Amino acid sequence: MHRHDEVNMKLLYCGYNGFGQCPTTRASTLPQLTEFPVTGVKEVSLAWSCMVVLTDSGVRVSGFVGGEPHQLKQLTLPDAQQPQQLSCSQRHVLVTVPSGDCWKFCIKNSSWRRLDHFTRVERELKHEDSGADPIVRVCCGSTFDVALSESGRAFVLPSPIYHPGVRVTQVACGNEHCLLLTETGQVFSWGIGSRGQLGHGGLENEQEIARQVDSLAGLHVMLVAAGGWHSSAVTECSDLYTWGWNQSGQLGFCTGKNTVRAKQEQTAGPKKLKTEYTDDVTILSTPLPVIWPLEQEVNVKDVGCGSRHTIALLDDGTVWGCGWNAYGQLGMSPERVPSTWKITRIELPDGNSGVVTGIECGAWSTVVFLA
Amino acid sequence: MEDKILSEIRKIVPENITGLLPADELDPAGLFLLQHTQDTVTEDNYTEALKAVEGVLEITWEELNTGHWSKVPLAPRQLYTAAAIIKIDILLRSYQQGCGDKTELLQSAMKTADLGILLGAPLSSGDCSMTRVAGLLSHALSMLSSVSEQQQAVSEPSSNTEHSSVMVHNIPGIKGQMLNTLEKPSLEGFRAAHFGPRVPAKLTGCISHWPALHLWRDINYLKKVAGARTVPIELGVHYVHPTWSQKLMTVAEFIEAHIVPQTGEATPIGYLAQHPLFEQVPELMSDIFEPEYCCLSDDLGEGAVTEETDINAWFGPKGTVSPLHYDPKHNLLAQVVGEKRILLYHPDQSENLYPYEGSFLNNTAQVDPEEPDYKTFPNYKNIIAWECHLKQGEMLYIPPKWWHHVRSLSTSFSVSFWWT
Repeated sequence: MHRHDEVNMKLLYCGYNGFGQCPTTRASTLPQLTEFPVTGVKEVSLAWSCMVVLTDSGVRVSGFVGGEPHQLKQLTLPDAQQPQQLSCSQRHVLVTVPSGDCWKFCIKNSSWRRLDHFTRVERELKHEDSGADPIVRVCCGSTFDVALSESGRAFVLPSPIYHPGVRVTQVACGNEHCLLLTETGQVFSWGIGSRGQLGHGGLENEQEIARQVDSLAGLHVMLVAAGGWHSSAVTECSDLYTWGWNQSGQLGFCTGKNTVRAKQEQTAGPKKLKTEYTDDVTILSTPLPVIWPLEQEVNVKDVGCGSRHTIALLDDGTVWGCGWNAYGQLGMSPERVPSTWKITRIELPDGNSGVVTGIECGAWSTVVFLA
Repeated sequence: MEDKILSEIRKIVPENITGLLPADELDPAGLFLLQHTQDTVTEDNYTEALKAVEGVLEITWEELNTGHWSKVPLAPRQLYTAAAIIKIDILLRSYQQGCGDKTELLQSAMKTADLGILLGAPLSSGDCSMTRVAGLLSHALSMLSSVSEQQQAVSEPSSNTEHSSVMVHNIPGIKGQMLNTLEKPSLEGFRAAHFGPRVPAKLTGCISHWPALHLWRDINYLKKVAGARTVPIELGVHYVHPTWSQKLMTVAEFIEAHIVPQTGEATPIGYLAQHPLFEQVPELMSDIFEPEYCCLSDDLGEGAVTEETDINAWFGPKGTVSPLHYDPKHNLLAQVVGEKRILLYHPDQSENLYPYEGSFLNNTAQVDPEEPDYKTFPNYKNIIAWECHLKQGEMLYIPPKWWHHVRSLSTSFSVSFWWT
């Protein structure tokens, strides 16, 4: 989701590694942030069974590729085109190139195909011949993919998503919903709403047009992320809002399951843990700000959502997470913490000096960029 | 000996499990992981193999939770079943090798089998039926625990084994006109006066021959037959309340947490509601009988397809509430244990009950008959409810589309029969 132009950036990985997507080790679970052997990283995208890394020297895909686990392959685009931005699901990788085209790499049979159909159809429908509207961003979800054109139109491939003529600058894709962020800082959502993930205060679907998330309308949103069935947004004031399914505590709100433990910790830990919300939350269908277990003001810089976990980066460089930790995706031992609704600090491994500049989540994994 | 039963289960585990799955419709990574796990499991790597197969179960669970449940294709549900079978096989191998606590291993296998029944779908071939595996596991588990149960019996007071008796005070809400009662109506009489014209009625004397009437009063009986089985429990006031949620737990855990504690203690209300328990635990089905009235059909034309009757269990403490709603099918609600108060409204009254808008809750009314808000819902004022107090051994006929609100007045176990 984020471009990283710093050189010599390090990549740390934790969480599910059942297909050797992090080639450092054969262990199927990595509960500690572990260095990924690669340099010059520009972008990373993670799926359940594989991941792709864009570096100075091209695109690499690792994990379950071509029917085999523990693969690490260099991908070369047809006609030696330069990759601009990429995203992957467990089925394919989408890559944008400078010409504005979008290429799809099929992970099963290692073949490339150009996706040039959708923008053209859209132009023909509108009788426009104003030339190309290049695809500048792609984002793969588990049931559909979303693309963004230079003029700010969003597509659920291959069809355009209708929304009231505002320029979209960012897209995020969950399991069955997506979020669109406009240049004016407004959030729109589209797709299935069965777990409140659309944020409209109900569980209805919105599959005709993308609908604005009204409760965020008064805020200027800088960043959105979509998980399996949950969503998050960071505002101009660096506040983190979450909504959707809180099944494993991924919203950072109290779940029934962990109430007892949380109470015990509360007496020993920081005082200001939960002051406003006392009810257990299963589904939050309207965005609410996450409460932090810290006395001082918290400024959120970046956020990522996995299937059932959420990771946030603060401006002081600390990384925090909540939700499901069965595979160590919160950078902690799953035996000790199977899941936590309480947003918890993730420690970086010893000997890693450097500043965390960004984060990215896969289904059951987390990546931290270290500059 | 339980060892014999467990060997029987292991014998029906298919050798090439993924060969029984529609590979073209499934993600190759999940399939690979499942087959690889089955092929490489040995005595030395049970822990690693379990982790791998749990990964398949978890990712398939995510797929099953994507899209509306009724539209989830068969293939991932079959994959869930296949992975559950392999997990059970690994757990039983650990059991037979003596790796780990015996009771814990069997309980884990039992839970895996029940989740397989709840979420999975039968494999296209082979004779490894999850219901059969679960039945065998349940049997093995009861053999294993019967020894320890006898030891426990001394310390456990026997006074708690019967459900608390009915005491009705201050039932909230409006009063309605009492519903007609019929003593054992004939099939033709019931058709002419009730089924045909869609008129609700209380039926008495129809289920007095059910063994369930005395057996299910005994909590220990339910624990013995179904205690180890995992079921979905609804927590919270009712399903349109914001704090409502669903949780999976065993019947024994449910009884301990929600049935045994007397009301007034600070336990949230838990309700085993609308659950096809009798498919999951066939042994309980032999305690009840499908009423003859369920063979009545609206469609008398030749070649009319009659669907099987949906039989659901409704088991909970005093104070469970099903908010005002209607169902599309004919419904016979048989009261096996305890008492329920049901309020009924004619389908003509739909507008005055203010159904929720949208596709999810449009069969549910916004009006709460127990605390009617006449300001917001003024048309509700002039409506008359039919009221029925359904006691043990009685049965209520609710015609299709009739609105009903149900509250348990004591610990209650009901069985509903839905048919067309």
